Amino acid sequence: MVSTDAEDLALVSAAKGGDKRAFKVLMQRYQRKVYAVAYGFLRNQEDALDVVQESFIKVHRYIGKFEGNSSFYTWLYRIVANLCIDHLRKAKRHRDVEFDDGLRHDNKDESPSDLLPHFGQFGDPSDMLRRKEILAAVEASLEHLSDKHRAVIVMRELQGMSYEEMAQEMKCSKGTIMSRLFHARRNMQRLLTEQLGACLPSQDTAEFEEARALERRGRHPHTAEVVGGGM
Amino acid sequence: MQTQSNMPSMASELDEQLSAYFDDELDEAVRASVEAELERDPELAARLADLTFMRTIVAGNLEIQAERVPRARFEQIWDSFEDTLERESRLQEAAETPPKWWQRLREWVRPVRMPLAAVAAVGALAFVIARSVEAPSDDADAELAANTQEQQASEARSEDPKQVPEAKSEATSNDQIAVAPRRDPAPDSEVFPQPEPGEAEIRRIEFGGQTGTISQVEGRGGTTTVIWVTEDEDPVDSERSL
Amino acid sequence: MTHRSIHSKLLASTFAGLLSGAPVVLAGAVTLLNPDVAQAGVTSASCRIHAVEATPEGDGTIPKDLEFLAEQLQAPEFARFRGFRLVEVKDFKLELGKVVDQKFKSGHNVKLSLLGGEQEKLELHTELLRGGTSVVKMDILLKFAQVVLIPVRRGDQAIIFAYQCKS
Repeated sequence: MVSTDAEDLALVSAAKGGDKRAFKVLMQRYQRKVYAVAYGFLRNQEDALDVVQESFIKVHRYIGKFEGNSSFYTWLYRIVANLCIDHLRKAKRHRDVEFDDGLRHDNKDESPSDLLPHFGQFGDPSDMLRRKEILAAVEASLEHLSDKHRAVIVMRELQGMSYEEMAQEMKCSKGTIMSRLFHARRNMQRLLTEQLGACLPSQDTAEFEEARALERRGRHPHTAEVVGGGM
Repeated sequence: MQTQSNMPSMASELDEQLSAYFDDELDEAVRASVEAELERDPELAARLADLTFMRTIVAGNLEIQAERVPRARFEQIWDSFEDTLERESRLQEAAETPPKWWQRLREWVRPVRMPLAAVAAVGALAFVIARSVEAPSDDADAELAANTQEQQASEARSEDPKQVPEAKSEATSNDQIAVAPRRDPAPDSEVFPQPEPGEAEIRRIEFGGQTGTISQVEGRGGTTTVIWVTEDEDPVDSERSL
Repeated sequence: MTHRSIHSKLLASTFAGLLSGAPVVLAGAVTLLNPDVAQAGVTSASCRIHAVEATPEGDGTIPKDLEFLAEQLQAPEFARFRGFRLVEVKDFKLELGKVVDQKFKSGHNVKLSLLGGEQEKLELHTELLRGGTSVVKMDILLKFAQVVLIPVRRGDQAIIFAYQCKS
């Protein structure tokens, strides 16, 4: 389900001409990704869905101005990041950590990263995603990051935005982004290590190896459980 | 302990570079030096692998979260979105430039069935209409109708200060009421861009018996094509229908 | 925050705009919902034709509703006309191959059909008639945001038909 740039441009062109169906097809390609980004920023399903709708409105409104100088999804992602940052700013009153007060998290490092264990011990990260403990660990870690740190992590890791693009969205310098991302990652690593260390005792490695063996036989671990039960 | 307190700051700088390296944001010179360092230091390479690990599980986690949202939720959003657009375009019609606005309003006021709520606003509106009817091409303000209303309102203010804001908001909400029924029978009014001078290309032309000329009008931005045609004086059609 | 709140926010802001008398800009670029087909070539278009009465009497001022044609009407070619008045505006909804015929108050009939074109350039066929007699017939290529003028002279007056189209 990978959309090509060329396909997007054809749809964009039609959508610009007022073609409702093309607009819908175009946005439906990206709606879940938009949700993923918004959920990353806002941590809340309802708010994330609001952003999805707002992004439809905004894209619809400004598609006439999209020149095709960048790919469509780049343009879309900036709109989404922008919407999310606005949401965070507005919500800051209700949050413990204000969006603009990233300072106490930004520069303080509890342990330099060379003292943290490496994740290599956990194996292939894409395998890890199938384990709900891992997902829970990521969720909890994201929760504990400051808004600013989480923002740069989402923009970089999920949206693939450049430092320059992020700097424009967050209205700061490229240097600030570089530094912010660095500190965000260190905090993330620390949080993840705490979370993962707690939920992955060594015996789980055996289960993990078994799952991989099943894979090699061409079956998804989940289906194996459903079908046979016994290994 | 002393030596260790020095090491973290050096490691930090390299780590920060590593982070930027991972994002492909380093310029050539620094990138080369980090790559050299990566070859040399397996510990650094392991830290790079950590960054990859985190990227994969963070992005993956969020994508999985998104997969969990039932399709029906997205369809609800589409329905909502389409309703919003519908509403938006109706409101936009209400805000359109006067030649259409006051024309439509005139036609709207003519039929007798006006909502009761509108009766109070008629005073202010009638004022607007009266002025427009007298000299449509001169006095009808080319600015938004709302501005005209404001003028009327401010003029009327001396008479009845309390009624004015009421009249204004009534009028506006009536405008909304007015617009909605109008929308269906008449074709949608479109928004056309401010014309830019540009030569149109004439592929084929046939003047109906009378002579004609194609000329260009030179303007600031470019030329506009003008096709001059002359009609015969028709003895039957003497009355001007203009 | 629910979806509904977005509606009310949007409505509230536009309403506020209307009430304050400020121009309500709801869209930067307006993409109107034209429920027509999704192909690359243009199969439908909308055109707007203004019919402008031009007379030798007058002081030469361009009325506000004709300001978009000010530059053209003030050009030397139109110097013989000193008075301009917008008589009528008609919108034409075009579909590939179909001919739309509209009668103007001036007594002219304008026939318009879409021959084809791309997004930014439309090919049209138009005919102007008066009392059943063809005054002019032509195929024309018109770009988005371009205006074409057809002044139809009758004695010392003229009715200028100004064409604008978009897909």
